[in-house]
Amino acid sequence: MIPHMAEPRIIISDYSREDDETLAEACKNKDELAFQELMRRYIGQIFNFSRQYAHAQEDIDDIVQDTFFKVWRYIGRFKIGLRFKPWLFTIARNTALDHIKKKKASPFSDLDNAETETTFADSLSDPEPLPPELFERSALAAELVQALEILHPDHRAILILHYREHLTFEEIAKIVGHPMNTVKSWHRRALFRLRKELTHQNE
Amino acid sequence: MNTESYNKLFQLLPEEKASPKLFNAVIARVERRETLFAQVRALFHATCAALSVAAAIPVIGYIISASQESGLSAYVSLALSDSTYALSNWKALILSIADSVPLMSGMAFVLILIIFANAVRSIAFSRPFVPLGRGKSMARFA
Repeated sequence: MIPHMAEPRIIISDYSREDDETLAEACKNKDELAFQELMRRYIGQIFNFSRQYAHAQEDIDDIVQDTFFKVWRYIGRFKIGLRFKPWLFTIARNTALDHIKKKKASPFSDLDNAETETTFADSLSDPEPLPPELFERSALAAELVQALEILHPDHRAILILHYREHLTFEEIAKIVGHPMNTVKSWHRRALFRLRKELTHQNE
Repeated sequence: MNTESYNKLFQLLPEEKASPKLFNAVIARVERRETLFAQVRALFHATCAALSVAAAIPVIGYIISASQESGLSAYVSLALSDSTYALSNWKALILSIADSVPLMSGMAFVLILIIFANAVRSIAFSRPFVPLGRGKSMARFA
């Protein structure tokens, strides 16, 4: 039998009060309002996440557009019981990488290098907390942006996803497609480099 | 690992706002895709309905002529006209009728009916994708 458009199974009166997973289920039934609500919630976060992988405004806009278009197109693959946010960021990250490779905006070797450094990171002890006087610097925000630039895009993404988006390492591991121990190693290494860069800038 | 200071640090990270044009661009792209899919689906089902009607005509004609040749119509006519004979020889009559039914063309006709009914149902009960456009807040499915 050839399927025709499904009848909506979820009736929503106030989209802004529904959780992400309910809205995602509604999107499966082509509920455009549910999709728009999800977009409103996450377009800013995906936009800022995409900035970790691209610099040109046009590239960032393309990544964001493609990400949400893929969410609509492949929403049928979103499984009940999973959280929507990690699934969305997985699509965003994969879309960003595809975009970079297509545009060759970043050399391929840069994208691959992150995988070879886990051994070194494993031997590191936990990074020390940041010195309190660091937070007295008026230009700290700008220095942070500059310091993040030296990191590998996936390392930057791990820090953003953990400290801004408050995702667990387990969820981040699924997003970046690597084992959790690898992600934790990259996280440790990224913090070391970030701390070194920020404290070095003061000298 | 004590990451309290890093938590505090990352709250300082400046956020840029996405342009409203970006939001509208995504919606427009989604609506273009769905409108196209709805049109293709409608065209497909309309074609199926038309082809099934076109196919039904020769099949019905064949069933009628095959029934006349096989004697089906004669058996049925006998059963209806002489009920006493029909009741007393019902086993032989049923076997004769079963033997004379044009089976393959009958099955073909049933299949054509199913395809036609499915196509009509799909056209009649499918909701066309109506683009909401910008700024519309009315729920489509209340």
